Amino acid sequence: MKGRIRALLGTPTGAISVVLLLAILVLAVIGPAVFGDAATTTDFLAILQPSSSAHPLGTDGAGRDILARTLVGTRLSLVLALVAVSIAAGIGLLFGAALVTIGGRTERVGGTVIDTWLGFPSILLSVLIIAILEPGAGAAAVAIGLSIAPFFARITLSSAAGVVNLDYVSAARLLGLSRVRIGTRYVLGSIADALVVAVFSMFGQALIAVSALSYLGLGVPADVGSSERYSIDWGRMLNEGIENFRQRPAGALGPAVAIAICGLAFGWFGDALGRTFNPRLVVRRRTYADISAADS
Amino acid sequence: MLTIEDLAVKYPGTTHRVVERVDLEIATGETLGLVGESGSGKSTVARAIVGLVAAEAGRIEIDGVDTTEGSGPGGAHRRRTVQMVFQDPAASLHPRLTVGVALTEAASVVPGRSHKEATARIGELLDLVGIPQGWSDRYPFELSGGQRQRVAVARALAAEPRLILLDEVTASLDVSIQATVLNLLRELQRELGLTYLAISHDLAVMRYLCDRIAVMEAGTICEVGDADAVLGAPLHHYTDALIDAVPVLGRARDRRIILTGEPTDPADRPSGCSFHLRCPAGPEARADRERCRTEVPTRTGDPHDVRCHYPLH
Amino acid sequence: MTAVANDPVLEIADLRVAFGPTRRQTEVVHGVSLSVKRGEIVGIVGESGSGKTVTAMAAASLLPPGSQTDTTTWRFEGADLRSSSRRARADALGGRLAVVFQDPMASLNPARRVGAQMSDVVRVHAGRSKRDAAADAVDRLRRVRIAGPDRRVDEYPHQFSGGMRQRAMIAMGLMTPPALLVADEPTTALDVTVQADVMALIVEMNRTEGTSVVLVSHNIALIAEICHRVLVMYGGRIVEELDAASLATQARHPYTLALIGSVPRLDSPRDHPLVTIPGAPPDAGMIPSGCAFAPRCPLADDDCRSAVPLLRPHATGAVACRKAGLDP
Repeated sequence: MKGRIRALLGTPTGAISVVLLLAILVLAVIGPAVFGDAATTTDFLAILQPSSSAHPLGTDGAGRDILARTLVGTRLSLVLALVAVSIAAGIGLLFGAALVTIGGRTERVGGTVIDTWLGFPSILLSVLIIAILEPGAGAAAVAIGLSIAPFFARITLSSAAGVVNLDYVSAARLLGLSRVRIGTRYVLGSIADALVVAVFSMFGQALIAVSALSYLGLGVPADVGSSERYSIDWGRMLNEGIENFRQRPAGALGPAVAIAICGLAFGWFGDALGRTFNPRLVVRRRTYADISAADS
Repeated sequence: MLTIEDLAVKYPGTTHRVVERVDLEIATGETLGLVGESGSGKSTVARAIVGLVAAEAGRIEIDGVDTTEGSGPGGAHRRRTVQMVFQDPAASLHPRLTVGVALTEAASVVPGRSHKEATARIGELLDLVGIPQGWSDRYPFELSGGQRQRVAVARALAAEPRLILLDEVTASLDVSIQATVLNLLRELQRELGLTYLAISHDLAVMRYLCDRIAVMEAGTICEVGDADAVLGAPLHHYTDALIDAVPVLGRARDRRIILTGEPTDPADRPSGCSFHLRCPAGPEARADRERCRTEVPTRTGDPHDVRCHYPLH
Repeated sequence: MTAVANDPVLEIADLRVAFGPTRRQTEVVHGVSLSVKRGEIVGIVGESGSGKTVTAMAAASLLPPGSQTDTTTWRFEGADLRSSSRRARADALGGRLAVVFQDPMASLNPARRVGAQMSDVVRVHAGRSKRDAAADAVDRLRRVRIAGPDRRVDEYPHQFSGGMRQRAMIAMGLMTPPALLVADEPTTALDVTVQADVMALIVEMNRTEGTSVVLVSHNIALIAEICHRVLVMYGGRIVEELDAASLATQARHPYTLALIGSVPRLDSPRDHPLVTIPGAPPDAGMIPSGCAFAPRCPLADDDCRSAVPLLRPHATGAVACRKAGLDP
């Protein structure tokens, strides 16, 4: 365990990402409660104000505090991205793993399906899916999830295909271990770190993609009223902020920077988490005398 | 104990057979060596025996039970009886499993054995191969190449096989370590009454390990017999050239035979005798031996068997 | 065997090579001296971690940029390379030193035709015209016994087999007649009959052109058969040096003796047990203090473990061991 923690926090980016992630999670939980009022209070006498002590990032077109809105938007943006990645990873990994386990012609055909799916422009796919479901936050998450899924399927298929012919997997088959055991412990177990890194690094992409949909008006609808604070997301903010970009660029920059930081934090964390799966980085190096001890 | 008749193997998606007309017998308790260069098909024969690759034609029998197909009682019998140790120590053990976990898993496949019994067994296995008991919580990367191979041998033994296939098991090891592993294998055979099928391109290692040797070329067996007979008085020209090509410490440099070209590619197998294009005593060298081009030579059926129209004696 | 002249083609004294980031360098070669006479074939034999490949690559000036090389002497054909720039070394060696690497798959540029790669050598180093260089390439391929050289010259490396690629590499080295060929495990990845063929080619080059050879291998029988002189390396140092002809019978270092005894032979009785050396050869970063072989040596004592034994010459060679019987 100690070795795992050392591997996780061992790199500068790893340590920073853990701190950032904690901050982001805290914000996601308490944001709407703590900053909700500031984020939703309109003041039409003070629209598009420059930064001041009261409004560090200024105000938007409806007089609302940009910084507060950015902080509050953490929850919904995060949730949407997480749902999207979960859907994508769930479908993609299972599909890829199933193809490798079945093997043969099915695997080859499946590979072509994945590549076609991967090549499909994601905006187009998302628009199609949202047209089927009703436009809204949920639909946006599902749409992005389905667009990203083939990426995970491809990674799983390629990495697993690389492992399946290695001698230790052959040895497992010779022992008569069940297909399920070989699929999970041997194949997935060997590529686990690559998958973990992929999931976390795709998080940033998913976040951007969901925000893009909201920006285009296909995602989170503007909501006014008592639950407004729970429906603030960065994509929507970008949409609102771009209109007044010349006067108050902070309106768009605020959410943009937030998206970037989130993406980085999750990506770095994914790398660090991936390191904990690799025993080489977790266990201390042995000395020459120690290794030689077994050879007499 | 193991009988192979007329085995042929073709990889899916290809048009040529990498192994053809292979007949082999291994008696219980002996060590048979399969020697050959690249393209000879020796590894493929091994993989067909354990079922990692499907046979296109022919029959494999272990203890009289037909194990050619992977499924059914034949497959089960094969899994209980045969195990394999692979060449590359870096890839032969699961990098994320500790030695103990890997061995327990292997020991658990023996039917009727409880998990507790399996765990107890690994202590004995580590002893057999000379790895300290405390090392069961080490990962493969913490072991040297030779130690990894010994753990791989322990894993093979854990399933209580009676026939073990050794696929180039020392080829990737340093020379000084190779001796340790070879000695261990001989000792284990004596102690446990194992039967071995050893595959290698290294004639000297085969001589040390094997009672009988079969020489493979371009997918068929061209000569088979007692190790001393095959290596001391070879009948096939290919065997002769192979022996001659091996440098021997202390022997002066007086090469008699240089084979031109590369080992025959089974995808490009010529008609007649598959060796006739390279044979120093064949139709390329002697005008009166045209039959090598068109007729496939047959076995003589003697204990020291050979497929050649004009064998050396 | 070829007559071996006395003037050295290559002289390196006290070679030290270290790798790694500047603060934490790991020395992998600790003071190796190598000299190769004109027409001589010198073999370096050792196992993994012995430093033999690094030594050979240092001699060929092919170590990667992250390495630190130090010598007290480095002369090639009389020219001092020690204090030269990288550029000056490349000029001195280009065309006069040829290299054959172990992995035939990786030794040639897969994206260019073989003939083009070979022509480059003479166009750069000897100023030949494109047409003449192309003709040279065909001729060299024929010299290394590649069938149909005029066709092969236009092919890509992946169309060559492993043995052919090695021969093409040798042919590339032959484009300008080299004074020295450095061959690092050139036949390890090849079948034994192909190995015999490629080694015969190298020996022929030595006989007919007088090319000196540095041959690195873990195969002691091969080295003994081909070379005039043999250096045995262990743990980054030379532990023994002797004539190839005496190797089988007059080796003195315990490691050399154990190495010879641990190799299975075609001509010894089957029940003759193999010598086993306990332990494993050390990796570069893990070399123990004192004699590197001491942890595995049956003769080692405290003296051996505390100080590195020096390479001391004797009647038929040199040996670095306190326990080896030396001339009085």
